[in-house]
Amino acid sequence: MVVNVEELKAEWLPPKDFTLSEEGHDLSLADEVRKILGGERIDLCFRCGTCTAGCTTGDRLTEYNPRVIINMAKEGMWNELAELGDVIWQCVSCNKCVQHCPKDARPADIVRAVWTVIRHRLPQETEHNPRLVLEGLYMGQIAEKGRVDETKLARDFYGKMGRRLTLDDMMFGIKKVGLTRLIRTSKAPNWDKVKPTVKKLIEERGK
Amino acid sequence: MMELIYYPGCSLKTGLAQNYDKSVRVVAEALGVELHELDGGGSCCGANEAFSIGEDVSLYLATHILATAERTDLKEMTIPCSGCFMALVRANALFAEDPSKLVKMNGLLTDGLKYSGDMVVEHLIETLHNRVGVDRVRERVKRPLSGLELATSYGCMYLRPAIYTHSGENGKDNPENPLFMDELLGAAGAEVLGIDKFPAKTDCCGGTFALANETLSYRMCSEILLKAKEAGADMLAIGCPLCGAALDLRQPAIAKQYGDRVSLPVVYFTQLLGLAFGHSVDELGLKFNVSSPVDLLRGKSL
Repeated sequence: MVVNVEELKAEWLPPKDFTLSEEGHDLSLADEVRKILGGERIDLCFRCGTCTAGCTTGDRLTEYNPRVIINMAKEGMWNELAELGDVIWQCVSCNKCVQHCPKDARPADIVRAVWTVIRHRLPQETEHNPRLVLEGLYMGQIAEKGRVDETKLARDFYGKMGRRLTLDDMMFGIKKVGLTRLIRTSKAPNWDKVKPTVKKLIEERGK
Repeated sequence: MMELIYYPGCSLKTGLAQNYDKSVRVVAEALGVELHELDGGGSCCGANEAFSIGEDVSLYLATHILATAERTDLKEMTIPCSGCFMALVRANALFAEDPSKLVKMNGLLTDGLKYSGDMVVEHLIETLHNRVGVDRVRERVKRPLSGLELATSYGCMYLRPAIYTHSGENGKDNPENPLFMDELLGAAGAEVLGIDKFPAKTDCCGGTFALANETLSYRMCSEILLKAKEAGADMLAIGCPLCGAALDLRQPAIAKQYGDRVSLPVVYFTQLLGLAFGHSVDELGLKFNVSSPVDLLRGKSL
């Protein structure tokens, strides 16, 4: 039998309207995620959904779906990712996904790397994000004193978010006043020697 | 006398969990453990916040603490805060995984500090269970916690993820059904609910969102409190100041939203051990628990 190779080749050509699923996608997105520490494991994910099955936030907020978020990053679905808005920031860091992921892809770390990309790409939209506002105040306290004061953190955070203090919020202050009679110090020892390096690393964050 | 480095962290040293710190010191002394507090309490571990903004910041803060600890001649440290515990075991694990990270961090340390990567980092629950032992706890009991039904909440970072905490490995607690705190409190005479009766023992309290997303945090706390109460618990025992901030300190606000069915005294496990060793409510800082355990304890004649 003589096989016409040319004919076979023609058989395997894709139909004319064939398009790859990633058409129109932003393929630089996954590259950006990969470059951020934690994000380099994104290629280990095979979208099994174990992360989502045990997700603490997802159980209570169905829109939060780490499997979908990681898939969007892998596929370069930037518009869809940006449209998730506040939802994407709702991970509580319970690490159940990292514990259970069969590929050790560390899903929570990938989501964190996606956050860094979003922060870089959408600096204005993320400026008032409660999570990032709190993080900024927290890191500010560490840089200055090497210690975190939860009472001051609560006060500053509510002030920045324009949230009115309730009587229950005052518990922070009341408890602190009672407790500071036991011990009183505020700055970490020898912090001035460490401070410049910490400040520099915070400024370089996520780069 | 057993000697260990003690790293209390911000919440226990100067923050809202000084009642936990007080009880840790009382219990350690009663059990013959000498705690050498790290250099004036040490500096902040960076917790999840530093890890979220960048691995380098997080690793640097952790390395600074570990290198300071290594300046003493002790090789083991014990940590009562799950957040601090996680920051330090994660640093150790990431250094073992990629030694170049340790080289980089050592290059950034000042003041002649250097870290080898070898400090043994333990959570206080594990130290008391494995080093001191349940038998020693039983021997020290003067006032058994009889008639006290407890639920135990281990939270997240003492257990997960195992790639950092090594939970589930030989001699470590089980990440899916932890028992160390249960056994310590059981030795003190309390009845502790098993995971079949209280399946929320490894659930997250949402402590990270106690300020930034109260809706989610309160919801998660309410579920843990409700499940514990429905299972018949008189109290919820915890071993983490972040759980304390969420489940105890915010309980008035949670109860306002979810009703009295979620009102349940929340106490640090060391406060309960201290009581069993014969110490007073004042010595253990129990008056500073917002969820009012004192009335309940009086009712049980403890």
